[in-house]
Amino acid sequence: MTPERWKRVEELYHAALALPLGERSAFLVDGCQEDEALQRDVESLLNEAASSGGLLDTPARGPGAIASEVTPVPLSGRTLGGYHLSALLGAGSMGEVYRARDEKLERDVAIKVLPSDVTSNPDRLARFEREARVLAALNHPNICAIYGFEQADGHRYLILELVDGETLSHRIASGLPIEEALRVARQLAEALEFAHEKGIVHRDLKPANITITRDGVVKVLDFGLAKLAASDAPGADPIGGTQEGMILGTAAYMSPQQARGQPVDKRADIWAFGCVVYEMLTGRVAFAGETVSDTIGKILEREPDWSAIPPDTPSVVKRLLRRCLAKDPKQRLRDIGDVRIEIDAIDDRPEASVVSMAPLPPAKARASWLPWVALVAIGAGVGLWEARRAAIMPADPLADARFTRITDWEGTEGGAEISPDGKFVAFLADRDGQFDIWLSQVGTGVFRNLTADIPALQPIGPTFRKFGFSGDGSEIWFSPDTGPSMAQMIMPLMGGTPRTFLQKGATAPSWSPDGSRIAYFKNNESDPLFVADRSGENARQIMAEEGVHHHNPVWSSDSQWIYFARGPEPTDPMDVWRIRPSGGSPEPLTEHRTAVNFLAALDSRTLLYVAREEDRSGPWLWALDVERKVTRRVASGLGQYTSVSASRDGQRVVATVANPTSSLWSVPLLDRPAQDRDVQSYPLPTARALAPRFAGNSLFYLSNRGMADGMWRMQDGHASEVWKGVDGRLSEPPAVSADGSRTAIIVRREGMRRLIVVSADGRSSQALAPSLDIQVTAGQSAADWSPDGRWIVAAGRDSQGSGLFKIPSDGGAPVRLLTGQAGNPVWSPDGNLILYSGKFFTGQAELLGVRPDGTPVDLSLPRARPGGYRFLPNGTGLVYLQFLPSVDFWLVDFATKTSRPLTRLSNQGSLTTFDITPDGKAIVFDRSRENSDIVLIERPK
Amino acid sequence: MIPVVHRELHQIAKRCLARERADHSFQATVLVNEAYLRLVDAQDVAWQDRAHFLAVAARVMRRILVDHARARRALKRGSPAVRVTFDEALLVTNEPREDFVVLDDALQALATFDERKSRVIELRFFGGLSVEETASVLSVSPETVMRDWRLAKAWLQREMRGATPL
Repeated sequence: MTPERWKRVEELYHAALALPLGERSAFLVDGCQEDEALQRDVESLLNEAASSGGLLDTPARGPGAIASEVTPVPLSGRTLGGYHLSALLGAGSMGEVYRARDEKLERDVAIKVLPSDVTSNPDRLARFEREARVLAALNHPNICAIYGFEQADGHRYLILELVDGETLSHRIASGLPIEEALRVARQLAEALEFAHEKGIVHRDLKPANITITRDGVVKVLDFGLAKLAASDAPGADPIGGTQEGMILGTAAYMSPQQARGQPVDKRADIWAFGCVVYEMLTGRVAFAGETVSDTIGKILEREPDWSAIPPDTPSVVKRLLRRCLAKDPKQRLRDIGDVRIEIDAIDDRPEASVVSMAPLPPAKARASWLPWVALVAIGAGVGLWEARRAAIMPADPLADARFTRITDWEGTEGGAEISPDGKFVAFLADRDGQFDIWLSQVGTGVFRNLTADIPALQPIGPTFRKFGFSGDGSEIWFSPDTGPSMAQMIMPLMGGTPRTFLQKGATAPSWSPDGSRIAYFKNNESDPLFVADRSGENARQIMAEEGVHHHNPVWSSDSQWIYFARGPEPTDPMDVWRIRPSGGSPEPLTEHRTAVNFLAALDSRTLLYVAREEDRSGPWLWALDVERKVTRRVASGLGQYTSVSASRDGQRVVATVANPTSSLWSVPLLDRPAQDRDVQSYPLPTARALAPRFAGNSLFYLSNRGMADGMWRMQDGHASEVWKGVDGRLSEPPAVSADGSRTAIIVRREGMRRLIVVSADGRSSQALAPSLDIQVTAGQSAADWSPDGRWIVAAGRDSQGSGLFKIPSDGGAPVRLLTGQAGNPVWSPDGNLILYSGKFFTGQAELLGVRPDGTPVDLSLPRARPGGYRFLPNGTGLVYLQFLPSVDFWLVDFATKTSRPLTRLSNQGSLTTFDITPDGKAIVFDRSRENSDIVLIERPK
Repeated sequence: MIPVVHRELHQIAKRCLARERADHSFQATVLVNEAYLRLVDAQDVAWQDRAHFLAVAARVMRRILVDHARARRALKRGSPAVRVTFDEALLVTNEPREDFVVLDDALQALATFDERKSRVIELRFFGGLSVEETASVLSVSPETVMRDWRLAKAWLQREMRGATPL
């Protein structure tokens, strides 16, 4: 596109826009004068404006939309492709299933027609296709086969094995003798084992998905398909949502992790397997509740009724069942293959009616990856595995090490690297306004900015290493950008001109201990790993795998292995793997399945790295014993670790430690503006606190004990955690009812923000308004209760657009109060007014009002920070946060309509949320500081 | 002047993007204006023209946000599923915004043949400037800004979707 041509496009575009739709084509034909390409270009731009409605690009539709889709006309009796569809066998969220006849091959099949929300999104469709291909390779007598994936007449459909028989749920209803239950269980276990070996998880195992043929052969249906129909949110599990319409009936088989919306692995299948076996033996569902939230509550909190299991059930089976239904995934049975082995070992072995045709993978294939155990460091509790797998805690490689803070600067430092000889430390810091590489010789306290004259580097928050020392420590390499055409740069330590280094796209090079070779990976779809010689020449690719991410290779100290982080998604979830420098099959070493990064080899059998816990708290520092494949957390107590690097001899380690602190403070409401000296620390039993909310006789706030932020409550001087960070952590202040008996929190599910009402003791919870995606602004509360506790007002977005909604607090459809940009509503103490922030203009929001019936109210209130306003408990005024000319509290009196400053404070950290004490005499607010420093760790010789 | 702006915006953006308060959505305008007001308050800087400042800040903010997005994401595919909403209220979150990077690339492409439209998007989208403020910065009429905004958005949406380039 040239400027001249563009000018023509522009003229034609605007001129055409001014015309009525019907006249545009003619006008363009005329105006383009035979230039068809020009006409096409202008038209495609015009179509763009029309289809997007001028404002919003089409957002991805959430699960709520599926429920409201108009049911398509059934296809029974039609021909699709080469198939003649007859009876509709069933319909679910993943499409309709028909019995069909394959005319060509003259066999009966099942056809599953995909719903439009999958087929209309080209990315999802492509992903579906890829996954379907993987599933088609699941060739096992107990797994319903996928024959193909085709399209015709605008429909896309899967061709599946037609299974004639009775569903397990039916069979259970008519009563299952124990022998048959065990027969079914064994075949189920075989099917799961086969799929798990191939890395495929079912995710939606339940009796309705299991069919028993007339010959007694068990067939598992819909393997892995639950994932394919899911939303795009990474890690989201469609079954884990609390969409009432979507998962009715399915919630009962969700594992606690699925219920929490955490990423799902094969252990979710093992849980569901336990539920199915329980149901077969007892005739009742293991976890059943009247509502979805009741069911989830039972899954999370209660054990199934073990007394219901028939007394003549073999004790082996009872034990297995308990292990399958262990709520803690670390305690749960890990390998479904163990079930098969145990059942086989039962003396009164049932007549097996299944023919095990597909050979199971030989046991030795599994032996190459020894079972291993992850242990939590002392202090956080130790979870021991079953006695069969003896666990030995590896020695703490950082025991007796000396920790020294190298930097204590204002600002952010990170990504610390130590030179191979352990003499120099380099890190990124924004001390000079932009992020530069700073260098210091250990022990001197002198720092030098190496990249002052080079355009800004990436700020911290790395996926890959952004810079490092060369093998001989004489040079530093760094990434000026992370585009696909990036080239690393390298420059001498003592200064000099940087030059390009390694091939385009090469990332995170790591030198072998003798400096003769370099390992690095290229940043693209398959993240190939390369090994080159010291000059970067003769690069040889040793590994690549499409759709899997490999980062940050590191050599072992004996040069025998290259370690790297690997996972299906970049950074999370990942694990530590290794591969020979000559190539071959990579081998997993850990089983975190969380964010794993920054590997550093300490010695030939120990690796240090940074990883988050399962609940996504952290990241913390971990050590891996590569021989025994055992990990432990190390160096706890300092804070969160965001990077680690080791010298060649492993004697010196540098790490970036982040110590975000947050605490509560109070300042009285006086006749004069309060100053710094009037501010007092607000005493709480927990060291960390943010987002305070007063209600009734309690103070609610967010805090944690070394894990993810949850909701706490202090009452009569006693504080307790009432809600653990269910999806990792809570971020916004909770909304609390006036009597303090219920709270409303915002939780992420399937890419949406959902409103959950939690009782003040944390015992019961209920998700509200499934169609509403809550809009959070500025980290403030997006909801508030009416004084009588019957309603909750919330800023949200549904299929009609953004707005303010009031939701019945015990469940029910939301009522729209207004449409448009609205945030952070607060309900007045007398219940007659809802204040909210409207349009943002020059950084502050205008404060608008609406009555609970939706009538707008004209107020002329001063502008304030979004969400930074609370009513005085007596309703006579509003305290709001200003940041002009400084961050201070102001009070507007409703009677006199005047405002005055309440405080004149100096800025000492970031103030985000505040509330007013019930007696109206003081403001309690939080102050957060993020302190990240570089720490040197020296191990004793 | 620029390093001061840069540092100030970095401080604010860093705080907002920091691990400490993850998942928070901040208006780009909030960040920009916080910086503005701090600088206005600072003794050694005299800002005559607020719009001028906002223009500079918008450019800096764009770099910060895009750099942050680039640093946080792993580039795996040519064009990830793009879902940039041109809502008047731009929400900035701590999550990696792949679409920011795609938008940035597209903006750079647009700038090669129409600098002004690229600026309009930058000022309004990254800086949160109103139509009037944008018009003032670019010394054009508000109507021109509206027209530029419309056409630029249409072109960008196509470009970011990966449609055949015009």
